[in-house]
Amino acid sequence: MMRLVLTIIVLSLFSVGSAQQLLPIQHDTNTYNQEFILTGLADFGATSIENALSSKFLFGGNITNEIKDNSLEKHKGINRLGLDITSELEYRNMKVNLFGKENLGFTVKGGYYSYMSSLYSKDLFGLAFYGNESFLGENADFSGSRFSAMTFQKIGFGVIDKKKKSNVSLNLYAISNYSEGNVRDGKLFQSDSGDSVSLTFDGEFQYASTNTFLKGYGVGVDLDFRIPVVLKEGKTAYIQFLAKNLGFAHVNSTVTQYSADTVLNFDGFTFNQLIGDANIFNANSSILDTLGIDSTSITKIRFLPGFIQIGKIVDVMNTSKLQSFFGVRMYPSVSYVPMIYAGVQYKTAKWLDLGANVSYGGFTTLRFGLYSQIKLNKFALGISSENLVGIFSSEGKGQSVILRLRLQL
Amino acid sequence: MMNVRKIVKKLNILLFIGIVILNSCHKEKTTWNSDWVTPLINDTLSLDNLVNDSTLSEGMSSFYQVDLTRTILNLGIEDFVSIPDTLITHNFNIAVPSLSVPPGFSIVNEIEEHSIGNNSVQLKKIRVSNGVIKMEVFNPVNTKTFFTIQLPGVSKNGVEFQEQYEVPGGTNSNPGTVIANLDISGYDILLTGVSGANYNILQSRLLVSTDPTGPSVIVTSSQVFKVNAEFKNVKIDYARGYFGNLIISDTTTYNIDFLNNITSGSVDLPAVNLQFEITNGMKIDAKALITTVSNTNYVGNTINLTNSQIGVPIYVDQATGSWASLINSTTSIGFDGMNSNLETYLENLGKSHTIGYKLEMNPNGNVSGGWNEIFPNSRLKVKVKAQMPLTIGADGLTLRDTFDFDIKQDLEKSHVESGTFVLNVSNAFPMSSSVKLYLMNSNGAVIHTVVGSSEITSSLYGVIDPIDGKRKMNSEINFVLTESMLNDLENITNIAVETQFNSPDPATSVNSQVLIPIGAFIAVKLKANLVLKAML
Repeated sequence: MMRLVLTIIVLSLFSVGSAQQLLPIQHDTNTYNQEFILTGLADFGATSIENALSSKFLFGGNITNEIKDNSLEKHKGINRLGLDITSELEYRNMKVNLFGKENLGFTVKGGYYSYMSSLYSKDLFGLAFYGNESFLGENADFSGSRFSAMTFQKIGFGVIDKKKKSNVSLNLYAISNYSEGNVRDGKLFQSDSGDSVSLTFDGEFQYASTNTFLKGYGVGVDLDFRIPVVLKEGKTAYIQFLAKNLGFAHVNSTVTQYSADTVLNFDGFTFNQLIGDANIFNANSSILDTLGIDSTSITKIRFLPGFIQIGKIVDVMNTSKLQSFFGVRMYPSVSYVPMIYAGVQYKTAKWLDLGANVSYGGFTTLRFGLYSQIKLNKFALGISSENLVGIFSSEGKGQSVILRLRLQL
Repeated sequence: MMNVRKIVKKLNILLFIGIVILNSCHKEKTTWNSDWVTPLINDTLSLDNLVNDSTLSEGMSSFYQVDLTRTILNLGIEDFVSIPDTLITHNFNIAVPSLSVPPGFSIVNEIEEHSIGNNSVQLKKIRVSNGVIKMEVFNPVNTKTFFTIQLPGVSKNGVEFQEQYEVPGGTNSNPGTVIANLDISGYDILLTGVSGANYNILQSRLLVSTDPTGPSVIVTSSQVFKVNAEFKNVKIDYARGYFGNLIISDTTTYNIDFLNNITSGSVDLPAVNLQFEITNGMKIDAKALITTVSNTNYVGNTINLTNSQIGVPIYVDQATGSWASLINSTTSIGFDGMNSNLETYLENLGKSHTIGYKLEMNPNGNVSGGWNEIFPNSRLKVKVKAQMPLTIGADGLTLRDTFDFDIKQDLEKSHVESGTFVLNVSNAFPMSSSVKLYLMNSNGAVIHTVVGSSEITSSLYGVIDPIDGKRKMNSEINFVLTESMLNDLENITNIAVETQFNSPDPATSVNSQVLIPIGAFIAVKLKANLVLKAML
């Protein structure tokens, strides 16, 4: 357990992320000259894969049959998993009057983002972890499975409203990795005795196949609008409209695409195919041609894995000990279902806030979270997890840790 | 405030420790095992390809018969007679010092004779099946001239060869020239010369005419009218003459690679009848002599085939008739268990066979008056024929063959940890066999031995399948690949496959001769059950 906790802390250092997490964005109308915000995230979520299995990919070790069986039991027909590792450093300057306007400062930010999401069938999980022997005499169906992954870096410049803290920035992106796969129709049937196999496959896989670091570029925006809403009691609540990394990426290095729409039946080679001058190993046609797989090079324009989040945020200036926050978050990905969340923050002391939240959706299902925020003069350090069960239980389905460090001058 | 500072300090220490622990944790790889089954081979082996291939016949019984016919020597006209590329030059000049020749005047030259080939073959008549004459005609006078070239004795469908060329004017040093290629395929060429009693003689005659519409021209004796006729790539399909005392002899050794793989055991074959048949479609007498027949087996044991006719000349008559009525003469030499040691010879399973022979044409010289003839369909053939029931007795007959092996796997990455090859066999041959695999390193040392879990059982132990009426026996043989074998894959460079054959009688379990039924087959399905260790 200690190792797990330490890992989460360390991971959060490696992946200080953007502010899409539930560690509440606090609305602060105080004015100050400059602000540094180092935020980060490591979030793995799954609907069906238990931490006992996923943690082996993090720490290593043998995945036993018991571990596989426990996760397999949790699987339904179609399952989701996703990984979001990001880090971002933002500098805000509110001393200058941008464009000669007293209420406008500027913001500069940069960060590293790695995003992977997948929809997959239970049979695909079984095939990967058990092999095809467990499917003898029946179909292994992996239709509808898909995945996408992208790693990119960002640098952005924007304007910020000094008082409301609403801000917008225009960002440039460097794409360093990209891959995507989609199985529209995929079935593997093997006879009871295992002496014949039939594969139905309609799908494609594509990836940026060059070795260069920069495989493409993109352009996008970050938006953070805060709208005050006057409540009945005369109090004001702030609704935040937040969008991160909304934009397009153009992968301009060679993208290799393998695609096939084929049915293959195989019950073994004949001796003539294996020996003699005309054997398949001497054939001029490639194995891909033999299998009916087309290989082409393409260029690719696609959405960045950005997100939109709308919700009520915590107001620093509010004197109440207890404040609520809630909202919804959406990614443009079929592997991610819109996530709704709600929580409360309790101000225990002037220097310490504690919070708890519950969420449903995203890459997984129901999750509970906790956070704490320490404020020390010009420093503020927040640590949070959106998946409390995942931290403490091997039966949890995912890990989440968020860290934010703020320095106000 | 002090408490907070302490907290931050402790947190920094925890982060450092965490990094160290995590770094050490990452050294271990993520692993899991999965079980995979894949078909590898699905095929049926039978003797069907050998039926109707002059090897096996199905005959009247329900068992195969060996009906082997192989041609070991096949000679035709091209092996006895050939026309080399030959250049004939026909020069002509007038006998007087100078002559004024009016327009249209012709000068006829006498027939000239030209020798072709050499005198070891005395050709009197040939027919060209394919060939070309390259003609070069040279005119030394300064007006155009007409050359008529005749080849007496060269005709096609009764029409004598004649070509006329209009050659532009020239000088003696720089004559007017015409070059033409003429196809002479199908031409008969009589080579008996002007006298009609000679051989290897080609005739030619040249006629030169001045231009009938031109001026008179002065011709001197120093001006040479010249024709070059070059016979190129001439093939013939008929020849008559005396073809000489041609002797073809050789001692050849040929290997049967398959039998080179035998390492032990023996076979028991039935009585065999082996015939050498010599057919002569040429009108030439011949004499044949088998000088030696021997074989040497895998342990170096040599057996000589013994028979009263080995080493004794055998005279072969010439064919009779001609062209479409040509009738071959046939001479046979028979070997069987009564007149030779043929059975012992074959059961020696010789991997290396040596046969010595001598074939002499016109052994008595030119006794035909120069009337040897070879027609387009004339062949001199030596065939070997064998007939016997396909009956084999195998007693521990062991064959071993070694193959290169170059499959490696990185044990630090995902790899096959262990596995089993499962061989399912349906055997309709009345023989059993067991298989062993020897995994060897580059020094030839056996590192591991994979022994099949059981043998491929003879069909005689099976039952008759009511669907196809064939007796067959099913067997399943497992070849287990252990983890240590697969770990040594890096060092394995060769695999030797050793198969031992037996033909046990189910009643006595004693190996005995068995008849191979028509349609016998062995259906093979090989699949692999593999344990894959994924490593990430």
